Amino acid sequence: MKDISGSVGRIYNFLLRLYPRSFRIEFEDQMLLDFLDMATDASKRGKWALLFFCLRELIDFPVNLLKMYLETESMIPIFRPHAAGNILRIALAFGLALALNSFAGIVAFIDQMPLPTIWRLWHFLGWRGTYHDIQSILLRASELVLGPVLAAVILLMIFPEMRPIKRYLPAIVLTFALPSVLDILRSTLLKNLALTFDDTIFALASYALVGLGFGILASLIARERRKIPWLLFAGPLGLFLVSWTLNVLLLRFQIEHSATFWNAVTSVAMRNALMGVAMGLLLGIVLEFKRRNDPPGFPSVQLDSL
Amino acid sequence: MKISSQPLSEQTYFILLSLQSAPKHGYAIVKDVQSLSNVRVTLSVSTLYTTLKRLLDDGWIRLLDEVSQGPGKPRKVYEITRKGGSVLAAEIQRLDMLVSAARLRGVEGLS
Repeated sequence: MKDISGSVGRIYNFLLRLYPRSFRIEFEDQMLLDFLDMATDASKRGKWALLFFCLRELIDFPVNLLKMYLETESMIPIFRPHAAGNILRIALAFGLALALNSFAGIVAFIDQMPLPTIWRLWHFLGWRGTYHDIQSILLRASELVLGPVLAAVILLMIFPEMRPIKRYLPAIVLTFALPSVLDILRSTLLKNLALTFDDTIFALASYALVGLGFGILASLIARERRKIPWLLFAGPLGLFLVSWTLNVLLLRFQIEHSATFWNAVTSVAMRNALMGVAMGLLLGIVLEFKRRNDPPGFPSVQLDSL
Repeated sequence: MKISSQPLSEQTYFILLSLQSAPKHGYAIVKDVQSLSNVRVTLSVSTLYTTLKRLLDDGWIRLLDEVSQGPGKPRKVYEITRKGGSVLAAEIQRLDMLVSAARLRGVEGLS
């Protein structure tokens, strides 16, 4: 474990060189010392504690790096350190959560899965379908279960204020599970991959649901429920535009060129990560603008606490 | 002395509160903030030092000295300034006012 925290320290030491020179001269040594102490502390609590610690640092690092570079009053308000930091943090959190969500389905392809047994049961019960159908359903089912759980874990780590999990978990689960339900329906009802009118309708509904989920989630994070209408509008519209563009540009390329399962999964994960980052940016900007336009004394969204 | 009317971020508030009791180096601040906030606020190293830099630039804290910690490298120790103390006092007063307003309406511990 000591080796691991040592390696992590070396990587962090390298990353510190990305800070502006003046900042590095003043703080580099101290940052590395503190990082090593904190990594050692975390590693004593076990590998998961070390992993969570590294993830937290990984998320915060680019945000604070950008803050340092953007710290100039001449920039437009939305790019000033506070606002930019909050927006980036939301963007990275959503990006990571969505990317992990797409990896959740891999469990269906693990060799040890009792697929033949399930297949025999499938036929015993008189259902039609191929081995591939079962695999596909398992893939979707595991996405439904593991996806929301992974997303919840990552979001809870990044936003400690969300720890009253009972209050926020339904929103997170809905955000990630509802689109998967629609996808299952789509793959069950429509067997071909060509883009039909129905397929497009399902896709649109799926985007709208993700947007809805994002809106609810962002509102809960911001603890300002009256802003939901704004976010519900921004969520579906933004997600539709982003997803449509990425689908056209990236997923078509992947379908044409990727030959292996892993290529496809990685490609989808990348697409989801980009989608999450774009959504996070959009929601962050909407929240930040709303906060700035609130009249004095209005209980604004306290993004600083994120 | 002009005090910012903007509410402090949680990180800034807890860092100032931590330094109010005694001067500390970075790692001690992280630990103290964790304890003060009941482990709710965990500062990352990058957040801690970007915040410390801003507080230094604003004159709310100052670099006190460097002290050695055993065989390791020297640690920089920070202490709160009078200006920082006033900002913290103003923030506590603001928070107190908010809570008092809720109490006045008989609202306690909304779940």
